[in-house]
Amino acid sequence: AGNASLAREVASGSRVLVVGAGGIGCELLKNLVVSGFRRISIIDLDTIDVSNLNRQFLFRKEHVGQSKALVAKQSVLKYGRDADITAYHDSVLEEKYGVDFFSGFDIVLIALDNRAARNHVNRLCLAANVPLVESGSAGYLGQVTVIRKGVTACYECKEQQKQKSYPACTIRNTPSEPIHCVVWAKYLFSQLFGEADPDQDVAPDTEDPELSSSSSTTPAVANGSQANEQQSQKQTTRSWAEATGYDPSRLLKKLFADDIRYLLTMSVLWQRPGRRAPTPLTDEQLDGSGDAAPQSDGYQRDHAVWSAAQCCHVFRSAVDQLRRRYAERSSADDYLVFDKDDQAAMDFPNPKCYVCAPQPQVTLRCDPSILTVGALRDRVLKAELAMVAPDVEIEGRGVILVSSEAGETESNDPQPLARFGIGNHARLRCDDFLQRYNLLIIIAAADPADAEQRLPDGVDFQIVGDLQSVQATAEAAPAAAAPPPATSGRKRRSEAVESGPLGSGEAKKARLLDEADDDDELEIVAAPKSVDGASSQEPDIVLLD
Amino acid sequence: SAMTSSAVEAPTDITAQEAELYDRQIRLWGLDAQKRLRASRILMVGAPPLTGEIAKNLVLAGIRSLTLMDDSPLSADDIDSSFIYDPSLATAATTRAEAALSALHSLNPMVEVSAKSGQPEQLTADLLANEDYDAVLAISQPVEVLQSLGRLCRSVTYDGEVNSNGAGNNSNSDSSAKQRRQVQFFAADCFGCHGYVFLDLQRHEFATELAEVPPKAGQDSSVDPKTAAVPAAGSQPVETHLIKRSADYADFESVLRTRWDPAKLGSLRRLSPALYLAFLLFEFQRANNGARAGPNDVDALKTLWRAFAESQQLPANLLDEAVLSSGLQPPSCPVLAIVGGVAAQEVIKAVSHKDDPFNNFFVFDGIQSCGSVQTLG
Repeated sequence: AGNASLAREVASGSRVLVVGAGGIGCELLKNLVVSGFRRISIIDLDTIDVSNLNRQFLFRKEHVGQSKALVAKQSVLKYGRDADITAYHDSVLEEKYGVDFFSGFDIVLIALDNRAARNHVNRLCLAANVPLVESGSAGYLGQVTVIRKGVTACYECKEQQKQKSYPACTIRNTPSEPIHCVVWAKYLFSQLFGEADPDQDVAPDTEDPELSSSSSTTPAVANGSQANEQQSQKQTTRSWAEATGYDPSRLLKKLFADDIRYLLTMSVLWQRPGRRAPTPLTDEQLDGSGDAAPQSDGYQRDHAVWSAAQCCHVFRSAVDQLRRRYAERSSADDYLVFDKDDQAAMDFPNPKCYVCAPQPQVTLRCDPSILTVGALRDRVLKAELAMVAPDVEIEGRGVILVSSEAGETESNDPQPLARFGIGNHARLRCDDFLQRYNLLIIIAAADPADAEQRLPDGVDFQIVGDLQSVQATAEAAPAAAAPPPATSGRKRRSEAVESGPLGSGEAKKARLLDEADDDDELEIVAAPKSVDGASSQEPDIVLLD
Repeated sequence: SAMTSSAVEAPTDITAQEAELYDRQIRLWGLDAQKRLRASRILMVGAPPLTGEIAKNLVLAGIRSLTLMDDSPLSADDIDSSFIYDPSLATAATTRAEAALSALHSLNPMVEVSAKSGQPEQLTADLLANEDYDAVLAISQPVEVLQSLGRLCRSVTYDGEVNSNGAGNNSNSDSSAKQRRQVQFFAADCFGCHGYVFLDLQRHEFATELAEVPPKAGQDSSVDPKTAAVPAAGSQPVETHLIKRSADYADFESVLRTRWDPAKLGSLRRLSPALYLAFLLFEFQRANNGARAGPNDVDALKTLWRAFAESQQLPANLLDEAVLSSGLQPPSCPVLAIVGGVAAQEVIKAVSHKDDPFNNFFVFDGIQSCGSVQTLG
């Protein structure tokens, strides 16, 4: 009989943080307040969209466009429970929400919609030693996991389901499924209006492996010229668009006529059985005289198949609107969102977990004469290992390879690791100051002559997390790791400058959170091109246990 | 007559406003299911806090109408464990049903929400037919009420036939699968940190998607399927097609008379004790004029359990005092949310005739934090 009142007592004194104010966040906030919790903080960077209203029940039509966290707070206060609620319209990836912030709570509840932020919060809760309840849902499925440092598995102990990836050449040259077009459109959007990303090129891909019948160029040369080409392509698309004032007609002509004609010159692509060659738009279609608007309302608009004339009309009007707004959250038409399941099982802690194991370390198999510092930072540390602002030091030499301070090590980016004397068995100390996450990376230089060691074709590196085999084969590993060099020579990041909800310096972190919709997002990762150009399911990164 | 004007005038397409609002759920269960939902009329007998959770989910989903029937006065305990009642009505002489209306209306103004005065005993087959209900939900009702409502729903058959859009005989739709409408019966309750949901859908027809992985282009037919590499989950686009299925449900009476047959139910020890507790509490109500068991009734319940176990040939240690006590407090908000969510999900499946609803008794065990479904009766 005493349980209920004891529960209420504990609840009213507890400080709770809810990360996310979407579908799960609304339910959580309602349950917390009605269950007697009084000290609640809630954080969400998103604003309310009409498509949220079917389930994010703390929001009404008049709230569309307003902050989810703020409106959620206002709505539950109407229950009359005298709760003390702090709402943050902000990104949880911001530096100000560091370990100190998380330490101020007795429990943290995750109601997020993407893996990157989950990883981040997981690490901060481990660092602050605060219990975490993680949850996610998609469609008819959902799960809840309790995470307690040292007691249970952490969010990253178990390898998460691999993200679906598509080879860049398929996206740019030979799309054959609706999802390829979605990815292409997404890339185009970011090329024109978003943060330019050289991996998200949309122009025809001349490095398509299908175009060369034999790998006639050495990897170094191919990579180098590919990088240069990508660089110039990126400049071309964006600066070209800017120079033409984002003229929709000229854009249509470039993307759907000129580029298509260029693709058609790559005749070998279209000889593959079963693959249909694209048809460039005709001049009549391009001049806009044949444009037709799709049915303007009702369910039919989004679900009927549009004719070319209707597509042109919509494209023109979309570009028109977008170029005027030129802002982050423009809603491109034809946007589809894929749901994925986020499964985590409660398990014994994984001693090899590269996040919460006592001395996390992994082996990076690569060719240091090819893999650049920039690639190490962006593709390994950020993309694969979910670090946000990493610093990398070469162990034992006090040399900083990558600095999270802007501008300090930018000149290192295009240099291959070998330029800094990094070879087989080299040890790199990587840490993310904000996540308080330290990771030792041991380089295993793949000998191209050795068939066993050679990386699969098209794969630049592999991350291997098997401690036993690493230590057994490492020839020159020091018996005890040398203490990290003194950090007195480095400036720690100063307090983040606030300029609105997304501080300018941290805007890039915040953009890891991509979608406006709060269903779990599908992250598109540009996979390397496989030799036969087929839509390969091989991810370019392999995490082995 | 059964063909009310509301059934005939239901349009066959949804509006732009609805398409925009319901977009995310239409992607999940399809447009057809959404149309049936928006034609559904639901009656909820009993408006305790659990009703608030179920009703919120049904209203958000976009049903046609929701009618609440509960004349009991709004109490402080009700307000304390729910978010659905208007707190400004705490001191007014208002019923629980009336106190829930404004919040429900605000959740989705497109749904007709109303309160209906009266007692469950006053419901008749004619009334159910005239007011055109597709489903009756009995929430936190005593076992005798469950028995009579269950019988009542089965006694209603609509004269007319309806097409697949849930609209009247005036069929504009291409696919006019004619089917006889029945009144679907649901019962749900929470006790302590546990809860149950029961479904009686009589003979239920529904559509469901069968997945088929398309054969890989150029696949060698001589490859032995056993040794061929299995594609990783999610690695191939999965095509599905819609098929029609049907399922038969037992009536509540049969469920009450369940024989706990290990051969049929598997090891009785593996069933959650909350399931036995649910039935024990029905027994208690039967022996005590419908009164709900509370924390002071532990001893009476223990005695009752011993007798019950013996008559059912169940081992007495399937239910111990700790579990028994865990079922006697007023339910907490999270338990209400979970059971309410599950109940609403099954109602949605049932009235939309999409995907297979539970058959037939779901129990949530708040100690183990898990739910399970048994086919009883």
